[in-house]
Amino acid sequence: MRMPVTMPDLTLSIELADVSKAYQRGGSEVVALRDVSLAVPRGEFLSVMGPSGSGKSTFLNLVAGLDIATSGEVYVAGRALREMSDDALTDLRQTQVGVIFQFFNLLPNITALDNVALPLRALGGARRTTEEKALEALARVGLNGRAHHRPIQLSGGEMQRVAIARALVIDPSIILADEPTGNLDSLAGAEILDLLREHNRERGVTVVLVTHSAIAAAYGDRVITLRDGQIVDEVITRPEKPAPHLRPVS
Amino acid sequence: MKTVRAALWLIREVTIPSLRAYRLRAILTLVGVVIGTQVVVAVGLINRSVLASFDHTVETIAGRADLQVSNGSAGVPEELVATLAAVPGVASAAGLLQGTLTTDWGDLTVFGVDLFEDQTVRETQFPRKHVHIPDGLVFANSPDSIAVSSPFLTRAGLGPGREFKANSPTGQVSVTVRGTLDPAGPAALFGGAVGLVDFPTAQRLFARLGRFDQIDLILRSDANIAEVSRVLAPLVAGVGTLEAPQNRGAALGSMLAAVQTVLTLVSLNAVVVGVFIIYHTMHTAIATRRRELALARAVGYRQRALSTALVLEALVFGTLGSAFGILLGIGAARLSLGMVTAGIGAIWAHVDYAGLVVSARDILGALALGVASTVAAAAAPTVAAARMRVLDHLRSSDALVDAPHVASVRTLAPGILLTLVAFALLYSGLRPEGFSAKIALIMGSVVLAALGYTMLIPLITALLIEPVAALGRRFAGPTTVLATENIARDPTRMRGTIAALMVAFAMVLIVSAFIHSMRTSILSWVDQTLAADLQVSPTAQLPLPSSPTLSGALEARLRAIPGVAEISPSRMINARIGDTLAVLRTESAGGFARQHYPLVAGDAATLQQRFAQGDVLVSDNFAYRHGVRAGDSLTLDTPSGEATFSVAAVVLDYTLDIGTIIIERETYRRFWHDDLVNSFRLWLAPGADVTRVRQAISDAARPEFSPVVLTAAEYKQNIAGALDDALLMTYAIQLVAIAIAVIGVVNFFLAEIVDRRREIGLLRSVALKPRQVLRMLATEAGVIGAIGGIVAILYAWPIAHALITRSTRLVSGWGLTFVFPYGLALVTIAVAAATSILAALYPARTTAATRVADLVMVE
Repeated sequence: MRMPVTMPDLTLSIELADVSKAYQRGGSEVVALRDVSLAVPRGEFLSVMGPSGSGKSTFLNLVAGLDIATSGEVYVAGRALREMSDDALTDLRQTQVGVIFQFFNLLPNITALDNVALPLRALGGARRTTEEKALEALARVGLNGRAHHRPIQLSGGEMQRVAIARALVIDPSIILADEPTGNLDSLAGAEILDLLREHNRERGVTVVLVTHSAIAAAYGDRVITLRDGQIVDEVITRPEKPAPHLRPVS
Repeated sequence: MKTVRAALWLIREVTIPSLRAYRLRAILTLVGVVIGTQVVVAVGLINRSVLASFDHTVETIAGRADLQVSNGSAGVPEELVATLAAVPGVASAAGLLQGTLTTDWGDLTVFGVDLFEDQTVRETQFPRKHVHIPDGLVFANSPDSIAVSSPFLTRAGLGPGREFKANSPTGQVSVTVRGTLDPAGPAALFGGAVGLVDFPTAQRLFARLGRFDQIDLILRSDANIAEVSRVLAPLVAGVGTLEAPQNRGAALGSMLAAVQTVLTLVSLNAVVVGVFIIYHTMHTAIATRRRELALARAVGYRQRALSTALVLEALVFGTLGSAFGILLGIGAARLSLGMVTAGIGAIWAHVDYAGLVVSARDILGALALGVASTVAAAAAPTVAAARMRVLDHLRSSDALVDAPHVASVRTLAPGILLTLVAFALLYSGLRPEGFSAKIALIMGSVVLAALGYTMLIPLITALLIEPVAALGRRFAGPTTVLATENIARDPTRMRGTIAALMVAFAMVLIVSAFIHSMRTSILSWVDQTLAADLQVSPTAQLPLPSSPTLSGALEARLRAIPGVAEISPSRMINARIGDTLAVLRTESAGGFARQHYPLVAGDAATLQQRFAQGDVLVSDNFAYRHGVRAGDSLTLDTPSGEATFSVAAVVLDYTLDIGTIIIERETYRRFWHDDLVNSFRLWLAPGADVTRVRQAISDAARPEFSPVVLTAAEYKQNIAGALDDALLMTYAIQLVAIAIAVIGVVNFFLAEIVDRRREIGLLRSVALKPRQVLRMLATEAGVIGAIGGIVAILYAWPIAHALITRSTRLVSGWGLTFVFPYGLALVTIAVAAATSILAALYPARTTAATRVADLVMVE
């Protein structure tokens, strides 16, 4: 049975209420997410698994405010995204939500330091302040010696660390990671996941990790599985860290 | 402040690195702005400088005269000088005659003044210190005396006392150098090829007995110019126009409306192409950065910061491009001004090449136009970039995006609406007052239609590409299939490129249609109305008001030649109609009877009789410009005073765009006392031998005259050649438009290939050889070019029709027969395709030769 959610719960980081998302492709409709309801408490490390085309990335994009649900409501930090302007959604990503992409999405022609400083500069930060913070974030991911290298001079693992540093530099309360280890070898992948878990545990950052890998998913406190746009399975892997407002999932 | 700072960071971290990485594309964007600005600056400066040349010529000749009396090229009676000099308030009055002697060293412009009477006026035109006549008495008493400017004497190797021969309207004459002129004032005009004679000599040389071309008046210092003018007005009424010299320059300048219109329209068309290219280059420059921009949006840059960064970039491109464009435009104007002035001199009036006039206002105006055009052209892609769906451009694992719509009501309605509004305006019959308002109406409509078509391009592309793709799937190889399917996948992507191709090639077709229509209309008119067997004129130059003349006395000799059945002596002068000029052309009653004037209004049955009795005909464009109809009366100032003529009919006539009045030869002589002739048209008796008659004409004219005798075919060829010369500049500007389009295509493919590196890398890794990649991209370029060519035809035909049948009439009064170059249109498709392929070759070859690993590399 689905529990309808009408008011946002402020103790939750993320909340989806009957969310559907459909795309128009060649005259027909492709449903990527179908009536998904889900609650992610603050400080949870949630892993989202599923085969290709199951709706994982769509889910992440909706939560990041990069896409809008066809129906239903998405709440992030207690705010309904549908009601927010583009600027407000941008501000949310500037201050609260750090996004890590599978394909790193680094700017190729500038240094790692400038890539990490990018979100701070969107806030109009001064050069010295933004560089100090970016160097600090790079240090946190173990890349202080590579700050002045361009992406092309870095390994895949290092590039992903730069992407993580860019997500961390704003001190987000939520990190959304889309297949962050998808292009990395197992050792580099493990280092990235350790980094995410460390931030989740030590700083109480909510992490949503979208992954194909069961090994990566096991880093989560809870693992949900999507198939054909619906949540079909849910496993709590860390019962010792119960989610305070875990809701049943249909 | 926060937005500006964020925008500056974006410029530093996205724009500048991207421009550095793709230098060629950055340069092409700049070149697009440079060429667009250059054409506008060059044409603007030429227009302004030509008008300034008119003013300069008139004012230099007028000296410090306060007022001037003239009457087109008919001149004013000599006796008027004394009458006007006696008016209270007039300090001095002096007549002036101007004519041209043809010498072995080129044309010599000769001024005839009263050298020995009142010197007040003369002193301001030919000051004593610059006129060196050693013996005034001998000069005055010898009717062959001439003072010649020193530069001409040096060029000709002549000196004081030397006699030389020259051709004048009265035949060959001999003149003797008895004085020299320093190159100052009027003596510095026309490249220093200037002579000065006493006025009786000038009247004799130019067959203008009893007449001056103008009378210059200097008023007393305490006189009120308005009050004196009121007293003078009745004295000159009917025989001339009293005005300030600068007004006369403006009236002469009004003759140039057509040439200015053509140049302005063509240059504005180039601006439209330029704006499209700037739009397109900015669009592609932004498109190639969309992943970076999307990423910036994803990590927290607001739409406003993005827009600000892109507008700042456009400002920099606009400023730099315009600055270079202005410099090149000044250079181009400097190079071509002499040619344009000479062309204008041959057709409209002899003007001095006064040099290029460049003012700070011109420079700032061009800079503002270039920058504003760049920013305006960048506005649409900027808004699109700021509003883009971030997800569509971020590389994501399996994210779905909506496919683009090409045929929704929302996307099509504005395009259809703009196009309909544009054609409604062009066909509306609106007649705004003034040259600028008319140009604004025409160009505004053309630009609106171009925008409307641009909005419809994705739909047209989708409609055109579907059958091609289907054929490709069935019959062609994989590279063709990939090429066509890539276009079909998202026809909105290449909208800017196709729009640039459309505007550039449509311009070629429209200008070509205009030239074809003009040639067809004029040559068919020549066939019908001027098709005499032989044409006798002093030079090969077309008989126009500015062209040299022969003496009317030659008519009797020509009539005496066996085989000559009829002669029509054609005299053309500029007649003053209000503030403008029109052509007054003569035709003999016998000649008129032999021709067929295409009748627009009037009674054909009584036409010949009324013409022979002194009624006049007016051209269709004269009737349109001056609101005259058949049956109306027309009052003209003549040397015999004001005369009123009844308008017997309105006929088609393409002599000049300023309009023509056709008058019977004897009636003209009676009122204008002018026996000169610009050309004789001769009809031969049946069976007469053209070669023999031609020879007999040359023999009869000797020894005083050596006229050029042309057959009907040669004359027609001459007119066609003159038309081509007059329109030469439009061809040059067309080439500029095509060059701009090529830049657009190169830019598109440079951007496209950056965008599709991964896709091309994947194709290379799974199936395609470099040669096949090259073929695929070349095919895609060819198909895009061909679509651009087809859309150009779809755009050009209705626009050309509207411009030729409606707008030409609005500006010049001429109604032209619409002729569209269908053959050229078909060739355009092939040329557009070939141009696109050539333009795409460099980026395609570079990509095809790139290693697969480099192509598929993620970052």
